[in-house]
This record gives sequence, structure tokens and C-alpha cells, in this order.
Amino acid sequence: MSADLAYLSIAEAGRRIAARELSPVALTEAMIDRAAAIDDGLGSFVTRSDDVARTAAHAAEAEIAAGRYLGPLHGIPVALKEAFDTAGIRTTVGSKLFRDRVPDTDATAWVRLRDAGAVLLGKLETTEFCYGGPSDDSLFRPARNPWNHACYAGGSSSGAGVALASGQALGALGTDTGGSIRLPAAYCGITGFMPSYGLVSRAGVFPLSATLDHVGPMARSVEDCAILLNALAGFDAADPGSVERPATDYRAGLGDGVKGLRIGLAESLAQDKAVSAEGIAAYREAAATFRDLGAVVREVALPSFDDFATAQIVITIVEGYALHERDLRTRRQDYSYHSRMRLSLGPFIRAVDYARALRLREALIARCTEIMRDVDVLLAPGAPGAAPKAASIEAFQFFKKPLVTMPANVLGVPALGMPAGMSKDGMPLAVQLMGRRFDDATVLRAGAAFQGATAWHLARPPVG
Amino acid sequence: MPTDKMIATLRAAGLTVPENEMDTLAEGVAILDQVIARLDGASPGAPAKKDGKTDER
Repeated sequence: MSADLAYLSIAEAGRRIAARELSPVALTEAMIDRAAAIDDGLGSFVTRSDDVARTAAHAAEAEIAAGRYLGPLHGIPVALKEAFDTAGIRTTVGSKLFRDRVPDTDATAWVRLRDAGAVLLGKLETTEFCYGGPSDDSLFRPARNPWNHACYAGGSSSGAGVALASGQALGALGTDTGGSIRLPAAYCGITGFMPSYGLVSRAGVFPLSATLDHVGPMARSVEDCAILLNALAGFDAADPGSVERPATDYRAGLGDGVKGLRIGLAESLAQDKAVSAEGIAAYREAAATFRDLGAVVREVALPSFDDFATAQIVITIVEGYALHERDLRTRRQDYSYHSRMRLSLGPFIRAVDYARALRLREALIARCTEIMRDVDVLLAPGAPGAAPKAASIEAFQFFKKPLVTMPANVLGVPALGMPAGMSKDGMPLAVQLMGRRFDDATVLRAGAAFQGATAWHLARPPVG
Repeated sequence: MPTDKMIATLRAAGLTVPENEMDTLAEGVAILDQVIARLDGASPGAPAKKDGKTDER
């Protein structure tokens, strides 16, 4: 298969399919062949649904030939993090506890992509219960970073980051509670978007923290994330956190640029205790790019990073423990090492401290809503730096050194992670853009302007 | 947190943690104690200083 096809964007594939220049069957077969050829060494897929994909691709081709073209996702091969339920296809959430679990219903987010014509290639590795890992005793081996197999691929949507970076899918879905879309995006050099809390349904997706979990698209460009979001966004009564919003075309304004857009520099997130010197340098370089593009860039005084991290860590442990308490009592040793260690902290948090963490979150939201009146988006580093060695990740790594991705979850605001540089060791670096809740379109517009002016998102790892 | 208090907390929750995991879990509890202690000093109404801390602390 040509590298051009492997790394085709959703936008370009959609255009070619609509023009009948590209067959969804040929594209899907090419993806199946590529996974067969390279994924054994990477481990991004834990279950491939080749036959399901072939059937869907043939159906798409027939529909399009009959004049029933559904739009830019029709015939596009995608894959799902293994936290999304798919009827008839094994979904373990990366855990031995769910080794043989086969759901009988589909997650709403997948239904929306399928209804838009997308083709399901399979299920992608996740760190256990979207919280563990990378653990060698997981049900599945952690996916390997295609830029350097010894490096962490980021989690928990690890398989999605790896599959996209290695040209095995055109788009994917991930989940994000403290950075699980944006961290693998940063470490694998792809683009991931965490939409506003309430914009995309989480029904049928295995939860970690009911008040911090988000579902979102992952791809190789902002435009492709916007195409996926157009299909995903919408109210769903099956998700208690879902919010009814006016329909928005997230792709429509991507070409509008950032001239005059007010971009706040989140300096309190660019501290050397949280981000490497290379990560901070990439962030400052991105700020300069936005200035060159005509944005009005200035520092803003966000609350302390520690406050965001405190709220995120306490809320996630308590809400995660509440979900797992019963199984931890009876099957604790069936959890992977990192999961069981992290979740076992649950009993050590008092109800009063959880309540204080919730109150802290409310105060942070109020303060940041005020700050965001004066800026349209925030720019921050996208990760602690380049991907560390996978073997160096400790059980309590992200409590000791919290992630710069955590604030957006606490605030429930849209956050885009995208490539913005390369480390001296040849690993991707990233920045993130955050916006006002439900102003996802402005965040995507700013990201598209950045990718229009830079080529970091086009860098490819040395794979096949 | 003293080991006996940690064991009592786990027992009250119905969790059994093997001895060879207790040291690491104790490390996690110590980190968590520091995180929870920050709830006392949190001042989200105040802007962060250059070092990422809030002025009031």
C-alpha cells in the first residue's frame, strides 16, 4: 500500500470518495493489509473486525454508487478505543475482569459515526479501565510508540494514538478524564480533541469519573477532528451529562484564521516542574506563530496549576473507586498492577475532602469563566514534554507530577492537543488550545490556523 | 499515615492488599495526603505567581 493512502486525511479521502475517485472497499482493504503487516510490532489493535469492515465498506460503495452519499465520513475506515461498546465485538476495557465481555449494544458515539457512513476497523488498546498502565501485567500488551518502541505512547487512549501515527486508521475515538486523548496525541504526534463536557455522548462508554469523562475524536489534523465532531456532537438522553445545544458546523469556520483572535498564554501551566524545557520552548514558539498569524497574544493569570491538579486527582480517585469498589474487594489481583494501586487509594479520601474538591472545582470554573471574558482561547503546553520511556512510568507518576492536560477536564472546556515541535531525540512535542465551554468551534479554528502555518502534524514516524 | 492506620482503613473498606504491595501503596497514600492537604490552601480566586503557586500561599 502506498504511504499516501496510509496517511490520507479524512477530508481528502472523503473528497475522493465523493468524486468516485477512491473506492471505500479499496481504502478499507488497504487499511486491513497495513494492520496485518505492521501492527504485530505496535499492538494498537486488540481486536480487528476485518469482516465487519469489509461488509460496511461494500455497503458504503453500493450506497454511494446508488447516489446515496452520506457525507465526508461515508466509507471512511476508523477505529475505537476499547472502552466503547460495540454490539457483537469483544470490549474488555483492557481488563482481565472483562476478558470475554461482548456487549449487545453500541455506544452512542459509535452509532453516530456509523450512521454517517464510517467503517469500523476494530478496537484499540486502552490502558486498563482508562486509568491503569502502562502495565506489563495488563490483559493486552501496552501499545508501542511508533516513534520509539521503548517510549510511552501516552494513555489511556494509547492504541488510538499509535494506530493514527502509524497510518492504520483515518480517525479514531478516545476518552479523556485527565488527558487521555491529548497525551497520546502529544506523545504519538497526532491531533486529539476533547470537546466541551456535555457535547458528545458517553452512553455505552466505560466510565472512569462521571463528572470528568469526555469522549472525543482523534485524527491527524484539526480538520479531520472537526469532521468527526460534526457527526458526534448532539444531545443524548442516555448520558446524564449530555447538554442540548444548537447544531454547529465545526468545519465551516476552520479557514477563517486568527487575525484579531485574543489568545491567552497559560503561563501557570508552563512551569518547569510540570513541563520540560523542550515542551516550554515549543509552547513559546507556538505563541510566536500565533502572533505572526495576527492573533493578539498576551499572558493571562490563571489560578495555580496545583489547584487544578488537586481537584482532578481527588475527584477521579473517588469516582473511579466508587465504580470499582465491589470488584476490588473480590478480584483486586485481577486488576493490573498500576490500576489496582491507583484505585486502592479510594478508601483514603474522606467524603468531606471529595466535597471540598468539588467546591474547589466550582471556584476554578467561576474564576476561569471570568478570565475567559478577556480572551477567546488559551494556549498551553500539551504534555509534560516528549514521551518518556514506558518503563519509567510509576504507579503514582501522575499524582506526583500532574499533567498539564488536567485543567481542561476540571473546567469542562474544549481542549485541542496538536503537534508543535520535535525533541532533540526525535520525539513529538505538543501544545494545547483551550476555549470557553461550548465554544469548541473557536478552538478548532485556532488549531486549523496553526496547522495551516506549520508542518509538525505532517511528520511521520519511521513505520513501514 | 502510620501503617496500622493504613491497614485499618483498607480493612474497613474490605480490601486485601498483599504485603509486597504495601510499601508502594504507602508511598501513594503519602502523595495523596499531600494532595489533600492542598485543599486547605487552595485559593482559586487568586492568580498564580510565576512559579505556579497562588500569592496567598
